[in-house]
Amino acid sequence: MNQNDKARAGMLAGLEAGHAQAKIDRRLAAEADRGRAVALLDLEAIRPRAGSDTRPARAAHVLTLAESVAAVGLVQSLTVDKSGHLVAGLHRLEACRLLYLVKPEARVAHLATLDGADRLDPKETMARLLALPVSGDLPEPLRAGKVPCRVLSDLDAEADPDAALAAEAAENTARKSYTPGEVAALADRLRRAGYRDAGGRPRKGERALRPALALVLGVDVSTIRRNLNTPPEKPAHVSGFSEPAARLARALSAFNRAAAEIALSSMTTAQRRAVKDAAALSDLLARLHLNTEGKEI
Amino acid sequence: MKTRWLAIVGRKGGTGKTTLALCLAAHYARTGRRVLLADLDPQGSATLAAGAVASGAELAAVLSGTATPNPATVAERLALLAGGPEMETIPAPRPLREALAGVPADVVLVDCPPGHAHLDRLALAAADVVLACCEPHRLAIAGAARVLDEARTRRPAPRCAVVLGRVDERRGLDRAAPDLLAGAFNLPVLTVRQDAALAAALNAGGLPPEHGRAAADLEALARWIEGTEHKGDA
Repeated sequence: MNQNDKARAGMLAGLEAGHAQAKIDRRLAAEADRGRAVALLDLEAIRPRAGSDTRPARAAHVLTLAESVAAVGLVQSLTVDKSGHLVAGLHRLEACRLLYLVKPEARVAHLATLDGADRLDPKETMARLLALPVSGDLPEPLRAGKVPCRVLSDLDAEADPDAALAAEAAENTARKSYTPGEVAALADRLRRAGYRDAGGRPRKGERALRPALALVLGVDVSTIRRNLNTPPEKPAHVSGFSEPAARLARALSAFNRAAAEIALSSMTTAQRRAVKDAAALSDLLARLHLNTEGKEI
Repeated sequence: MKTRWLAIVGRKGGTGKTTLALCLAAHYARTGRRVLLADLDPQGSATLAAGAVASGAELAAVLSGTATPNPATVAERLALLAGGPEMETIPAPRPLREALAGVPADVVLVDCPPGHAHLDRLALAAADVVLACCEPHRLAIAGAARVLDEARTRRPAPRCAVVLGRVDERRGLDRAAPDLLAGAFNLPVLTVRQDAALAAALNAGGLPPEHGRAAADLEALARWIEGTEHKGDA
């Protein structure tokens, strides 16, 4: 390879690096966005999106969500455009509406308008609806008829349905990522509210923790399983290690962070192996640290 | 005439964003267009180069909503809203088009800073043309790819091009780069040749020269821009 060919290869490598960095930029921007512009809106002020071709809300889904909202409140805010048209969170909205209808017969009637309501077991559904809290026992701010909404102030869903659809897709695929610690804390709250973490299929009348948690956080059940099975978060500091071990742990963790920003596909086999070894080693050090509970090793 | 919004981006520093912004600003002003140069850069490079005082407050204050735009006149038909360090810390900037509404301009040129994705985003949201400044070097290409990826996800999508500056046709790599990059980015690559007179004029604090190699290339670039629809056109 002559100098010019090498330079060309380098330029194309730069291009790939730029694409990878752009992905990280988008994720960071989406996370920053989610953190701001959350407003409490009146439940009645949230309007359906005109011309929305999304599917109707599923009754079973809404009922399960309503139970979790009653237990721990609405964890994921809804997303609306500048005039309050719903962009993302139809099931969450319907769950809040169901809860805010305090009379059991109104709740029954509302659930019946949703997709697949006729396929629910009538007796069990009625029991679950009757078990939902009434007005004074609803969590805040739903008790006052308000829901937390992320307002996309530069989006007009009516004028630009394509942009609304893109925002909905972005919202549903790029939820905030929860740390194992956050998931564990939420799981504890659900357990205290009577959810059971039994393996296998939940028995009739039993409220299963993992599917509820998955629904609340907007992620799939396997993510929840992974999170709940992960040991507690690594401590941010490594002061319990002896100094050389602490230095090594810090170096490995910095290496892992850097490696995470490079696509595995753009690495050589040897580089991929090095990344995996470093990850395994840093994991081992963290476990050692946890097992010795911060004592010098 | 509808206002044309141009974002000059690159993400990496030193790729010629400010030079291109000043060259285009001078070109448009000379051809009878009212130009507003909005300096989004916390370093205030365009502000310094145009000889305006970088108090830093102007564009930052307008974007924060604490001031109405009051651009400084740099030359005939060429006005500038100064950038500066305050640009780093605007908590919730207003959209550029909203913040600069009412400023009489046929062309708004937004000179973006290096390394500030959130400031780039303000310009990308406003622009109907995005020009990504680049050099035949992997770091510059990475920077351009990074910001162009974001520009191309915008809806409605702005028209994008890569601008290769300081091209010296005696160098093999410079000759090969336009085709290579056009293929890699799948975008038009517009070139501006190296021009000692341009460098000298900017170094002396003046406007880019009216004639010469770079001026001829900029005319071609401006013609390419002319072929762009305005945002919101059917």
